Amino acid sequence: MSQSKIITWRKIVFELKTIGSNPFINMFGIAFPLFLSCVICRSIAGEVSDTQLVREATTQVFLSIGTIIPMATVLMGYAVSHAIEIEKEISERMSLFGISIIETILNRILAQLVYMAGSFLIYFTVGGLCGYILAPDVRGVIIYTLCIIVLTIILFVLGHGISTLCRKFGLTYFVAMVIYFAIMIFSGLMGISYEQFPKWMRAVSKLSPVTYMNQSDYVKAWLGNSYNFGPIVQAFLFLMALTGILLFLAERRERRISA
Amino acid sequence: MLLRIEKMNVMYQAQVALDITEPFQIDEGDRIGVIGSNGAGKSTLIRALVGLKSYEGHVESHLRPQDMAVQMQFNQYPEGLTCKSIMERILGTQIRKDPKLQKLIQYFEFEECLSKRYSKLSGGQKQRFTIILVMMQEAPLTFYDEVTSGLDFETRGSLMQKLNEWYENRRDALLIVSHYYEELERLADKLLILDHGHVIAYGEKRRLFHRYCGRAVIVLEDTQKNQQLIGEEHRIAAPRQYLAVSPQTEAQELALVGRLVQENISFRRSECDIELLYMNAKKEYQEGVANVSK
Repeated sequence: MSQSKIITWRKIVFELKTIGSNPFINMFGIAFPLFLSCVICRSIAGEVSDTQLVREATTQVFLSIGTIIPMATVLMGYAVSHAIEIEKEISERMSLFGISIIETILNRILAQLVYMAGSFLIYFTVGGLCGYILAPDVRGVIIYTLCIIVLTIILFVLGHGISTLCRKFGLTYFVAMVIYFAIMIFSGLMGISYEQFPKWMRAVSKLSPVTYMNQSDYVKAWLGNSYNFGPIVQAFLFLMALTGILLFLAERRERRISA
Repeated sequence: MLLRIEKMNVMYQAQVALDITEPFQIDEGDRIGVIGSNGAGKSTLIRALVGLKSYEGHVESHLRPQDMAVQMQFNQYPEGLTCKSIMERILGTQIRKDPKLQKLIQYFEFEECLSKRYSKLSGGQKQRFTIILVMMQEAPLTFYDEVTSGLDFETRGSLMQKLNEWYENRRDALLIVSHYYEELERLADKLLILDHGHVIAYGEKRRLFHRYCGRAVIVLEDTQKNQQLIGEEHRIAAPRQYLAVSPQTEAQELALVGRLVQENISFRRSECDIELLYMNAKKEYQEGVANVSK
């Protein structure tokens, strides 16, 4: 049953409902990062007396833990739900009603962005009301938003590639979980910072843009101070190339299966 | 003409799933029952026609795959959402603003299921859900692939009755795959019989019955006494525990029926028994194949 416009608000709302109906996404996409940030900030505030230093540190905590939101909602959430759709032939059923996979994906990308915008709004509102976040510079907000959007798109492609290649819920869940924790560990989000890593871990860590968003000087960008964007841009480009290859392999497999 | 299959070959890896060599066509208003054992190629035919499976060959039609509606054997939808949300998304409409959809929901007594999640529906409710969506498409050609499989007797009966009534005065062409012959006796006017990917027979139900079973068939229980009574002449293939006789003329039939009544033997007369038709068409086809290979 073909519906003329590929992207409509109603279709996006449907995808938003799909995302919202997954308790895992709500739990790890909003509740977990918010809880984690608040706990860490509270502990920092108790240990350091210099107010400016504390607020810079807590702002940095919020900025870096904020990267968990796209990782949980897009990398984990989308990959797993797409794998379920492939495994249960839901996409195939929808295509028989004239709803193409491309249409679903486009509306889903926008729904993910809307969902994440809502998540970040809650996240930063709570952080701001608790006094953990320093007021940003306009450029700082734009840069952070851009970083999150690019990261989200990369994670979306990564999630799509994994689920298309794995095709089963169990395997996709396992692979996505491994990548999720690998990014968290190598980006220094699991308690051990980049500076404490052995040499080989640092080499891997440098390839992840989340590493740079988790470093103490990233807050400078947020506050509008000078910041060297070279390494983070390189890491984004590297991840883009990697996910691009994965997407190519996934599409090739998809075509082979359809034939 | 809605669709004409000139030639169609579908492979699953090295195995031939469907090999149609004799052309056949589907016309407007046709009600075609597709029968055959498991692996005969029934679902493969549907999947190929709606574009889910690639094939070699040629199909002539002005219909695109999206112009056809299909109820698959298993239909899954996004989990965690209510039937209402899924229905409105797929159909691109709102139930409260769509009288046609409201009518179908009412017709299939689906009102109470709208607020339920699809995963929470029973087998019959799930089938009714897809049927509503399929019927809303108002496609010139609709496929029903084992729409009642897995349903209990009562649910199956009521669902088929609803389908019968709905399509009674409509011109849509239907292609119905089923293992339940009694369903096809009510719904189908043509039959397509498949076996191991090959078309055994295709045509108007009564004409096929006449060809493979004769003008009428008398079916009775398979006992020694009955075997002796009817003899070997004019016996045709029948399901286990039954004997089937196809008298050539009315006079022969009357004589046989007279003897059965005289002996107080219960029997059934049929002019369009699909199971008998299928068995005899398959027998003739297999004998033909065996003769060719000799």
